[in-house]
Amino acid sequence: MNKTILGAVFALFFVDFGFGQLVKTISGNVKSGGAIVENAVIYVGKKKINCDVQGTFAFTVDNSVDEFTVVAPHFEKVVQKIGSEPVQVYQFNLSPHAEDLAEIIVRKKASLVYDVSGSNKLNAKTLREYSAQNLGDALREINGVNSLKTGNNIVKPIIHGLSGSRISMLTNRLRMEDQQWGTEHAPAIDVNGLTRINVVKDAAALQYSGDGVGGLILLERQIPENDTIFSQLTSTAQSNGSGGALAATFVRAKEKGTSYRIDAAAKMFGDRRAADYVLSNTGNRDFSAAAQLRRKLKFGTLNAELSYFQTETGILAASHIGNATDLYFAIQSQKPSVVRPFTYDIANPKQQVSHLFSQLSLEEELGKWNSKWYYGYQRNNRKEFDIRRGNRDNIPALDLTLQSHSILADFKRMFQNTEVKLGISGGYQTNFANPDTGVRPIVPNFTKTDLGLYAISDLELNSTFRLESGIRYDYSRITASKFYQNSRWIERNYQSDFGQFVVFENAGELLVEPIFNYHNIAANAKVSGQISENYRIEFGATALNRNPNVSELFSDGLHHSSGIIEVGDLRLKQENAVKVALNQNLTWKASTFSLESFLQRIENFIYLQPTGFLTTIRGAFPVYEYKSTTARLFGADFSWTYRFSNRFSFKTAASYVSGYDVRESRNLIDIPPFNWHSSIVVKPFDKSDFTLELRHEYVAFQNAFPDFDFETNIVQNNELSQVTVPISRPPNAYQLFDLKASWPFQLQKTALQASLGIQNIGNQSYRNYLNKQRLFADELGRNITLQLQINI
Amino acid sequence: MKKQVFIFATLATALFTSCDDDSASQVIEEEVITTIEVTLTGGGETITLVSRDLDGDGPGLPVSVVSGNLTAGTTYTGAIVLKNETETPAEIKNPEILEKDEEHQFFYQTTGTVGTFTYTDADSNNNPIGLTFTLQTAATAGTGSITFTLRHELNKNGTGVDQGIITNAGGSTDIEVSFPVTIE
Repeated sequence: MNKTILGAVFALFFVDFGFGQLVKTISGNVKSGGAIVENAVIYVGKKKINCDVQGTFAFTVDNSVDEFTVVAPHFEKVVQKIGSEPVQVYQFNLSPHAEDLAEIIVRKKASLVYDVSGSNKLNAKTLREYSAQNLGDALREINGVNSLKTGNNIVKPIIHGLSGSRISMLTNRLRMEDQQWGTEHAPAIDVNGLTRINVVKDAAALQYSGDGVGGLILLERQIPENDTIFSQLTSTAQSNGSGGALAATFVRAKEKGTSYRIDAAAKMFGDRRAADYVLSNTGNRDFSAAAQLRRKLKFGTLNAELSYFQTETGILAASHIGNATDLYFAIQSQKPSVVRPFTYDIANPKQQVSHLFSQLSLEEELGKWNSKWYYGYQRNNRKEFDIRRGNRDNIPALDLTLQSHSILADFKRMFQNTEVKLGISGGYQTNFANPDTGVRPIVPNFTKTDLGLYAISDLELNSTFRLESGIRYDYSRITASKFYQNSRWIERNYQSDFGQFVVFENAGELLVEPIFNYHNIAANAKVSGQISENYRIEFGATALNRNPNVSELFSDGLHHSSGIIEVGDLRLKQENAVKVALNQNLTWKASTFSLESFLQRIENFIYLQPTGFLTTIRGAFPVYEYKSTTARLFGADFSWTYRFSNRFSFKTAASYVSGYDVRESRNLIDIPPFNWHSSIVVKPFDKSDFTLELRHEYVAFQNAFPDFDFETNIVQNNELSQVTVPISRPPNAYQLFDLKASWPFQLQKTALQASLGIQNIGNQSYRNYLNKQRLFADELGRNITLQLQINI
Repeated sequence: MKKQVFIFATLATALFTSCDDDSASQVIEEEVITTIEVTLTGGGETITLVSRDLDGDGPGLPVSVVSGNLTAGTTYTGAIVLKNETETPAEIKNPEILEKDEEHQFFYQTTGTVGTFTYTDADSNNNPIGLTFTLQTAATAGTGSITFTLRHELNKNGTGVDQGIITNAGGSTDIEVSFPVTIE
């Protein structure tokens, strides 16, 4: 307020000494909800006036000017008519920009279920920077989240050492239903159009799922709550892969009435490059589109959403191998055995994935209860094209279609100082493995029916402490239909336990239709305390169960991409996981520290264990069986942010996980090595938001790995000799530097942002332990990204 | 509220009762090669080497049979026939190889006392395929083994590949079978 007066005085000063030539003096300040708005700018025609650090401004205009515009990053612009008074003082209360606002609203809602500490979310702004990349890449921004990759495009998130079906992923409340399909299947959703991502590492959000043993990822695509209309266009070009992405969003939002949002994005890339060679057949083509409609009616709010995603991804040519001998030679050669000139063409082997997602929901106040009703339908399809003989290249070697219907009802209300949430969910899912492929499918036909019930309470114990607790019951019934080879059925000794499920026998194969029923109870409790303004602590414990997924139960056969024979086990039981987590957040002067630590024990932990060798007419293959053991994981994520000044800040974050197989007394496979990320952000200019960021990433050598090396016989120099196939040893430690410069600016009334990024500046060749293709090729070399964002 | 409960209940009932039984259809694996038959003709006799693996990547092991011993110092004419015997009648797979002959090549690796192999066929680029060959058996008697390897999508221009040296061939293996042989 003082500043306003000062501004007015300042303005009067102008009038007094302006010798009457200037007709009007305008001053005031720019705030939002009482807080100072940084970097606000006034446009009078083409003239630009910067507000000071307190958001105060003053200027003079003559009679020819009748309006001016107030613009600030992350806020809705305001166009102000100028009155006729000679001295005018304005106080602007800006509304947050639509996408930022959506985030604030979501955060408010979300805080009632779980507390997401600052480092565990990604906002629309960050996600937009990843427009040309994929979801798994963007998630790596979050400390403690890694990715399990098959090449560059198939990226699955790992949270605290766990991935795949141990991570539940939801989009706008509805669970994404495709993570049963094994490691070579990335989540089928585009990062474009998402407005926010929350990662719940302590697995405590029982409202959403009872089996997210590794954690949850909540994806949100929201229409802002306030009245707004905007469109965004993001175009990105990347040197590595000589491709790019184009993404567009149009939003028309109203507080009352009908709102809608439309998103569309397309990506195209050719072969990527490692530092020293072309990674042949690593191009991709993605397309995604989404439409959302919100209608506020007298009795409630109706939401409808339809989205579609498809991708075609090449699989690194050099990773297509046959038997153990091929694997041995591929590893020995260091360089990929197939390096062809760069091309945009995608040849076999390749993957085509599509995902249709639709959802209808109704939110209504029923007395003191807030109720939300949902219906969702999803259709996932995955086709794999392999290198085949006899003109079968255009016939997929795998063609799976998964259809899922779900219904949910969520209720919540306040009882004095306690928020109570109750809910029920039902699901029906069918998986169809197309038999026309001419290859026995790795995942069989199945039907799955689910029922879930939950109750959560969030109790404010006092002004400092809160207790959140929940319980959830899940029932699942899986009915599968699969042809087993007689030889496999006998070798697995299934007849005694599962003989009753055999339907008939034909041509050396048995049709088996087993039924599995699973009952699970999950529970959690978490105490959080805001001990002081600067210190926050959370301590929670969660017990969850995860049913074995269909690949773990039914796999039986050769996995072409890895050259191993995978054998599932019908006898596998649910995983029982208990996780305790302690999170602390401390603000001290200009520093913010966060330390999240966890300890988890999983009984019946299901993993692939090498068990021997199988000789076939195609040579010898290592056999991996799904086994269960007792796993123990612990780790910590630490981050420190230091703001030297408004112009200069520093952040460093480190993450460590240990995974151990207690029963076999050895390390777990695919546990992320210690990694350490640091960045320095500099804003060199006062009057511009131009930002320069230098990032450093250090990934250590993972010395805690299980020795799964195996021996194979090859003919060398007229003699049969035994060689070791070194598949276990993780690659060496590496460090990478990235540079990013972004420049937001205003062109007339359009807000733009240009940015230039260089990843892997030194064009370092390195390999990543968590990439299934690390045995065959290096990771990506240098990549230069140019991006232009336009907001209208 | 009543309306929602009604709709919800109806949907729930629909979901839980709509058990359209999707029985699996038996997949006919037309592409697989179950059997390799190598015929060696020379010195007035015919020796066959057969290996058969009817369950492919199933746990059953291939069964290999060698019809007799080879004679030392003899030139045999060799021919390979590949079959899918899960079909009746068995399908000969050689045409599928010849159709994409520039993508396929057989390699013959030996241990112990066997002899020397020479390719006698060629693809359109004049590189060997290896479905036919000659075997000049060793001059002295002894025992050894022959490994027949069929590589797909290999690099035929790799060093020594057209001479039958497998080391730089790359690609993926479609057949790899070893037979014990005796030269007398």
